[in-house]
Amino acid sequence: MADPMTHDVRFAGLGGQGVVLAGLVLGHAAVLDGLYASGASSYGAQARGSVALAEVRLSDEPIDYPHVEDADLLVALSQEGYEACRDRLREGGLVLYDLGLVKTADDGPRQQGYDVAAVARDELDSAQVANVVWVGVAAAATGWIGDDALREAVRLRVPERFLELNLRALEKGLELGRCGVKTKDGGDASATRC
Amino acid sequence: MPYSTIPTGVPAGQRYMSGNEAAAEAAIAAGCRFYAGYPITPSSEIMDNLSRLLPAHDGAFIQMEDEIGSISAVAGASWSGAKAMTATSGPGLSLMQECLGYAVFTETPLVVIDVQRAGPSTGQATKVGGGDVMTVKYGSHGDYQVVAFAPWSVAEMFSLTVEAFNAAEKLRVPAFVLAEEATGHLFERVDTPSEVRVYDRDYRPGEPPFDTPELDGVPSMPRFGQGENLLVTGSTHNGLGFRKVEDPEVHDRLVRRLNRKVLARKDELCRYETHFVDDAKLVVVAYGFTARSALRAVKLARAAGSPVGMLRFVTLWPFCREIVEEIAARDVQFLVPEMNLGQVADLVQAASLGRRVEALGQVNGKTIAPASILQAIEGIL
Amino acid sequence: MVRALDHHLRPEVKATPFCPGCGHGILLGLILRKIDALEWDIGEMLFVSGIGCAAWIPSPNYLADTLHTLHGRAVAFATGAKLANPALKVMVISGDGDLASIGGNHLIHAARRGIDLTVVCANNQIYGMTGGQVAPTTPKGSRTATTADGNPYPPFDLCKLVKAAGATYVARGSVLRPRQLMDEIGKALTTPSFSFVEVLSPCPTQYGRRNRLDTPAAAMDEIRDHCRVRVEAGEAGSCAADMLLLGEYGDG
Repeated sequence: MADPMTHDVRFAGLGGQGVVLAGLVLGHAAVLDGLYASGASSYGAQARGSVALAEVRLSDEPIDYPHVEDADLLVALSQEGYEACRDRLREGGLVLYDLGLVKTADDGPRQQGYDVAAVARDELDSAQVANVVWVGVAAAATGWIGDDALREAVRLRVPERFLELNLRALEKGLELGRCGVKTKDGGDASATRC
Repeated sequence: MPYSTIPTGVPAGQRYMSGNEAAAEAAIAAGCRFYAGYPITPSSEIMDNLSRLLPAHDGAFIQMEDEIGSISAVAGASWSGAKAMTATSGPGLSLMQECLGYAVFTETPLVVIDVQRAGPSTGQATKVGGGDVMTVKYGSHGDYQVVAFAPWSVAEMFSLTVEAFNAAEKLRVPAFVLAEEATGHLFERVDTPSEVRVYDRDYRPGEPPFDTPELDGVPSMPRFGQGENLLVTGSTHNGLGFRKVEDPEVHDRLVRRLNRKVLARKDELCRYETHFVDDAKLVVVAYGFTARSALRAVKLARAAGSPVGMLRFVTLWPFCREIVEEIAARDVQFLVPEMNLGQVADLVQAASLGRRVEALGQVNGKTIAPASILQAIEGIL
Repeated sequence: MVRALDHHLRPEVKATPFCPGCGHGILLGLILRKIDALEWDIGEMLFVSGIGCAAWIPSPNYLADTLHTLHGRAVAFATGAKLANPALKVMVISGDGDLASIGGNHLIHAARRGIDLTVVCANNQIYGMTGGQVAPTTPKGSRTATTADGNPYPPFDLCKLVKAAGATYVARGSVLRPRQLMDEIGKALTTPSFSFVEVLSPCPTQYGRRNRLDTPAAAMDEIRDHCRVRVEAGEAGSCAADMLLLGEYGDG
């Protein structure tokens, strides 16, 4: 039973990829945009190297059950994250995945690849901010949250000294997400160009 | 004097925060101006936040060398006149028991937030548990009552922390927020208020601080430095605080009054919610995070035509058996899902007038999924 | 020196609970005399104690705010009370077992932090109240209820311990030298930050009888014979291993 105006998002990556912050920014942005949101994270025993998940529910109405069960949107930042979560998607759910790091199954659900890790490394000079790029991609690709709310959420959640870099990462993600990418059906396989 | 409405001193409005963050802000809102604590997963964020918030609100903060030092300092600060608290988890709560008994016996107002994790012992430090229900009530030796609330949301981590302070100050008793890792680390939107209703301890100069003419009374609460020449002691004492360790009547009177003063006020202390119980043949009894799962399961079951309802306990101690008895007057069964092996189920059984009570205990470090409760409902009906 | 202390004693209390020959009664009076000599208002003070015979020095005898706490926790309670009301002058009075065994951790941390407390440790080198068990201050070789063949372990030098932990003022006195002890108590009270005074006090009932000190006078002689003030100890300021050095513990 899916509530009509609820979106369930799951970020899945490895510890160290900043998945938790991504979930926080998304959830906080939703609230700034006037929505209800709930968020929970889990990680494995190792600070680096085991699967980390950040789950966010977004809704027009107060949320009764705050955990994500099957997601509407899976954002896979690593192969392990993809493997761990690909079966926990609703019918019609969408997978956004990193073209450079994740190999998806051929008969998988609706999916779109983005070369986020490479973009972060090459265009932002920081592999670390791929997580915030993903927030922008996810928001723009779905249209669920407004850009200004996202920018404000980054301001509130990121330490001062990294703020400028993260804001740029967000803009990059919004740009990528708006352009859309090649679905599995066709078109060129390279990273997006708009 | 009794309740007053005061500005919270923390930002009001639509906030996105974790349960632990909400609890810390609620403490400030309630007027807490002293925290002593020790780090322990999954409660440490409460302390981290108050280490910053308290100095900003002219309060005092100290990280003590261990949990025993922490609860001791909290008790000392309360007698100096401050609304005082600490936060911990199972292992720390165990260490604090002697001093909690001292706080009960000396009628020292204080608040303890227990963010429960999977136990016993060190257990699974980062995983959720719900096994401390009995610990807050029976963890120390002797016969006594405490107040304990079980929040089910980030919003309740805020509101029930305020209520815990009110109960502690009004009844001169330790009050617990029996939270869980699942709520402590959960982020939710909270619409925080700009004002809260708070109770400040009653000081009636010249009245004995440790007894009342009433058999269920709460004495005046003085503090150090008022010229009262206080005699605070954990030994059995008379109304003025003199040790009376040979007198059977004094001991009996004191022990009974400390119990009665809480039990006589169940009407105002007992908070609970009922959902769809009027036509229910099965009532799911839940509290804390589990109640979020239970409500979802109940709604799903009702959508499929099952006559199921829910009773959610907000107050766990004193245990409000009366509402169970009221529901059990009709022909119903009870299902009690918990993240322990039936601590509240046993209490429900005792109050259920012989109705069938099924305990659904889960102790695997995870929250109970709505599907598990739904499956149990379908199994029964 | 004030002799009449009635104004500081609770009128309802007719007698102390101490054994004949116990040194704690002397210490009880000396503290009050010093407070008078300093012309302090005892109403601005808070006395915190733990569990044990020494913890019964302030409670219920002193007509002042008293906080009788749990075994070992007096310093922790005092820390909270002081931080929540810095205007209070807080004095902890408790015994050696209470402060240095179960309470040891709270003691060294408060010393480290420099919390503005005055801690008076009435050291009778034994657990008196519970029947004479060994304490962390019991001399090596002494007989106690739990060391019938003589204590196999050496004791703490509490003053060195607390000084090393960071205390600002540290001194050792004994009830046999009341004027020196009162000076030390006065300095401790007037030192802001953490101060500590260890007070040798005889326990004829538990320590004395087990160690061939059959009378209170013999127990007092024992303290006299095993304590040295600095001038007697010589320039180096040290003394034999089984002796205790009286006086202030400064830097170095």
